[in-house]
Amino acid sequence: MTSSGLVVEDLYVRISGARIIEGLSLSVPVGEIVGLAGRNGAGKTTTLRAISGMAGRSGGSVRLDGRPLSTRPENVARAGVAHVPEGRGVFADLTVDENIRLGMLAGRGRDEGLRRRLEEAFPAVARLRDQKAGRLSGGEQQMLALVRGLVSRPKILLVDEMSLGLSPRALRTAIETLVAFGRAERVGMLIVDQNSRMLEEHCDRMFLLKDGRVEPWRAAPEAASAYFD
Amino acid sequence: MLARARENVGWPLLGILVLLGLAPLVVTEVSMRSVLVVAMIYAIGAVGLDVLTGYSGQFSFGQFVYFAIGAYVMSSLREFGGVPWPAALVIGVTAAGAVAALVASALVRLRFFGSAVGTFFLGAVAVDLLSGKRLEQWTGGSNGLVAPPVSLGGIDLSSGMGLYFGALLALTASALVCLRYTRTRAGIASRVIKQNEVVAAVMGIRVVREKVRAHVLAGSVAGLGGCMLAINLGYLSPETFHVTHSIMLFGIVVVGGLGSIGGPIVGSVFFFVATYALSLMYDGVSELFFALILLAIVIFFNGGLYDLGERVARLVRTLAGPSLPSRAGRAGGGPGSPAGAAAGRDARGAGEPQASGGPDGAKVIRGASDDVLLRLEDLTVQFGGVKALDGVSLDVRRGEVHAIIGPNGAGKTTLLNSISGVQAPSSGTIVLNGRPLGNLSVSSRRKLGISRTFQHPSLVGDLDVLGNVAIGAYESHDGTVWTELAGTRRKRRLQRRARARAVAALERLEFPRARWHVLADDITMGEQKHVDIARAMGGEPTLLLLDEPTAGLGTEEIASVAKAIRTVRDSGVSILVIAHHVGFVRQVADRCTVLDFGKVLVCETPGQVLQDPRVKEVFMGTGSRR
Amino acid sequence: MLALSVIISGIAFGLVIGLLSFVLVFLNKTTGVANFAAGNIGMFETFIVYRIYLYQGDAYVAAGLGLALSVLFGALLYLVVLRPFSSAGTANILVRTVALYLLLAAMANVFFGKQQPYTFPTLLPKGGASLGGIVIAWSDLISVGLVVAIGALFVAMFRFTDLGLQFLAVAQQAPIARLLGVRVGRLSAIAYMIAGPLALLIGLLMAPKQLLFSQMMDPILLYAFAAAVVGGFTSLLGTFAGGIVIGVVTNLVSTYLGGDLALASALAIMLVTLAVRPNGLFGTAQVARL
Repeated sequence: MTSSGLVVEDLYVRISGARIIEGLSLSVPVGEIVGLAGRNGAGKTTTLRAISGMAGRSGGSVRLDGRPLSTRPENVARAGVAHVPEGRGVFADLTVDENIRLGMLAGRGRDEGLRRRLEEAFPAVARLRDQKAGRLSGGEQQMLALVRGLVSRPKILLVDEMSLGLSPRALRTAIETLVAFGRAERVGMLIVDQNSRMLEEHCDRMFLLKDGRVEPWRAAPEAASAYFD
Repeated sequence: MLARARENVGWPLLGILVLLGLAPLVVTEVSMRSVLVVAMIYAIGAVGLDVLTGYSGQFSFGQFVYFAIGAYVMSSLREFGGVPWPAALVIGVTAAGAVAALVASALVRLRFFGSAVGTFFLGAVAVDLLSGKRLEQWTGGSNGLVAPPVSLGGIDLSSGMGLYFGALLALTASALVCLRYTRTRAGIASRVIKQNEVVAAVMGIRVVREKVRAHVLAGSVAGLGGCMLAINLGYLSPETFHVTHSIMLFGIVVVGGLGSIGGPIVGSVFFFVATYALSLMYDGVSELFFALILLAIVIFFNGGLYDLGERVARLVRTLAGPSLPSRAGRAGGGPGSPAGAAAGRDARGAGEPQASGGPDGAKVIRGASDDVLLRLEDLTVQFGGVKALDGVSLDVRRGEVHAIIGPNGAGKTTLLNSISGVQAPSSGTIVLNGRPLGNLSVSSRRKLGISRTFQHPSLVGDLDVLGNVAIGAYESHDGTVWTELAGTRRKRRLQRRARARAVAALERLEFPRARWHVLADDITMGEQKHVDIARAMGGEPTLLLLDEPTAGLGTEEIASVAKAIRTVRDSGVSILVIAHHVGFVRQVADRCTVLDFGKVLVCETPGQVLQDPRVKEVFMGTGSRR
Repeated sequence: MLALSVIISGIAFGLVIGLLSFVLVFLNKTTGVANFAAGNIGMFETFIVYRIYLYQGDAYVAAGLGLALSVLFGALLYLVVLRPFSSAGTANILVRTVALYLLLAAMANVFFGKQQPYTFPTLLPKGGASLGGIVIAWSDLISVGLVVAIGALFVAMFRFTDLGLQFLAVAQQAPIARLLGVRVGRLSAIAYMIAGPLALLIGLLMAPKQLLFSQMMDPILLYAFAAAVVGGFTSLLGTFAGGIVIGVVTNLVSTYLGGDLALASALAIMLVTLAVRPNGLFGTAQVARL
């Protein structure tokens, strides 16, 4: 049984005693775009942090292409799982170019061709190359964070709450570019967001995170009840 | 490193002191006795440093400054002023405390690293000043200063048994004052500060003042140590007070075990006896040996000798059989019983929400009075260029539960911070009971009746539940620490009243009595949230602000918190609560305000709010449709 | 005229202070803790160089060998003292560096004899150039040149190399740097391998002037802390400016008011800076953690 892509099975996460994730299972095949919606505080960010090693797991397994994924963030990144964190995590005092260079350090081989394609796909980022990242607008910073994640040639890209603080217009540009690029380059993506409508429109498959577990996503009226009770 | 500050250290301390008192019976060798004298003198300062670091969470790498002040002031007064020694000693100790107050008020505002560097620096400067020409008139400069022998009622206190028991007496005094301090309001307050300064401030604790007090106590007892050092040496030179000794003293406390009062005494005896024994065998390796021990302890064995002793004692108790009542029993029962007790309570809570008359039932009465307790007008908070709150106006009526919901980053916590005074608004007004709060401090707002909880409860983990609630229940954290140390009637009354209020708060929340004396580290997350609410209730607020009381809780625990909140409301307190969990809001809230991008989107009853399409849009997104 | 030459030698001394200050801030930013033992690391390494020099007689060869060894020494200290159980928290690590401070001083006393202080051979030429009546010592000039060159090397490293970029990333947001695959542990080891020779260099510049003994670095360590605070503790290059301020002021104070006030004046500058500009001259505001 060869399972390609990211497979999370029966994941448990506790943060200072609180049970955040309880028995979460999920898979992201290479080249597929998976959405995970859930209300505020449902544990979406924790899920991604547990996958990338930023948060400790207290049970369950996380595998990439059948092999267990390390619990140290630097090794996860080197194995091919890039995490675009909530709040974007750009280095404000470094230039856009330096931020992108950092993305290429993960040791998965430099790919200048990929970088060029990324710059074509995200022209706004290419244009701002020499600016300090801290001076960029929220939308531009989000684009930069996405480019920095993609430039490491990941097999799987984890994207956390990219809608946060973005205007609908900036968000639309960002998600459309991201998804188009991911499809073209066959990058698997796990996009986690409160904004379920954005996910519904752009993802191949979609789930709901509730009570620390994954449930199938249901259409509009029931979806609302998942958020509101 | 700074993890533990122990509660029950009185008996071990007594044991250590009694052993030191009996030691001369066994130790007949004169040189060994004088080693013990030096050890006790260092220990006088070490217990103070333990209060400062272990209980108050602050660093000092310069305690020998206060040793020097005590020693020099006392000797100088006797030599040049002809002051009798007991008076000179008292003045020396006072001077050390006074300088500590001065130094501390400059340094406590820094994080521990800053105060570590600052005190270290001061230690070096003091030696420079002592050996320099500027103070030569009183200190004898690099030539040093004679400290004449002292005697009391014909007993020579500068040598032999007189000196030994004099040092032991001074150590006992220092240790008892320090022990007493850890049990006063001030001592417990500084443990809250060690845990989290913001939480402490919100509870009405004067953070800077309490930190300075810990420094003064540590400085004063170090001054006493200095006086004893002068009596022991008979001669003072600047090198005696070199900054290396300060660092060694810190090392002694760490090796002995922080947060134990008795541990540093053991550490000191260990250090001086071991180095003495080594110096008999090899020449000059004692410092090397101590540095290695210190390093090994810090790297591999964080707890120090005291912790080692505790582990041995626990082992002995377990071997002696389970019949002995022991503290190990508490640790053993911990994991099982909290869950059980919590589950029992939760089950009750879960069964009851409808029975206790949900918000809708009670609303008829409260709806009649539109009496406003808190009014926010056009409140704006800016961080750099970002507006976290953008012209928020809302009001909280008397006796209502008002919920604030909204997506991440909507400004909910900023709103709570502004009301409780943790964050100053850029513009706009906050009016409580018709009175504008302006830029009143956190503690003044608490006096006006605003209490709050935090998303992360920040309880003092090594203090029990009742203790945690009681420290939040003091009417006032003002007044001098001396009356507390002395335990005057007024202070005892304050303490009793705080305890009574704590008991009342816990009872009101129906917190199971069996769990009152469990350490906060050993209770469940759900219980922590209850304790946090009880702690805020201890201040007898008119307005209670709750920050995410359900974060990280399971369904049953949430129901139990919801019940607690309704209980609090029914006792006449108005509540403003931030929540993620919309179901919970529906259970508890009378009214609900939705924040989005720092603005009020809508403010209605929960039912109406959750039907509003705009609210759905905020939570679930607009997608690319526009 | 005296004042001017005092100021000039103050600048030269200040840059050496700045170099140690830079080491402190560099370690603080890349490994999370400023090392109290930084000065004593240099002291101990200088003793090793002195031993090598006594053994074979050429001070320059000894210094060269010492610099190579100090790279290993830095790595060793990191691996033995700081790396094990490093999750114990900042306070724990800070106390480790203090223990290391004691340990190195004690080791120097035990291994290198009781006859301290030793006179250390001058590595830099004696004499000086006269410029409009002011004599500038060659040694000062060369030491200024060395420190400036080192500063420039670091700027180049930060700007143009991947290693430098990783250092900057870790200094700003270590968790995010790890997410991008930066191996923080390895980077910390490299930081100590850089700090080792820098500390030795400071020792080599100081020892000929003020003799070699186990406590030789205590004053300059304190000056360096003060310089770091003046520079803002977050600004890497601000440390050199802070060093110059401290070097010049303490030089003036000890010339005109007396040497026993030199340390006190540095402390005063540090406290005034903290009171007036808590983030130093060049530091960026740190967001309070609530």
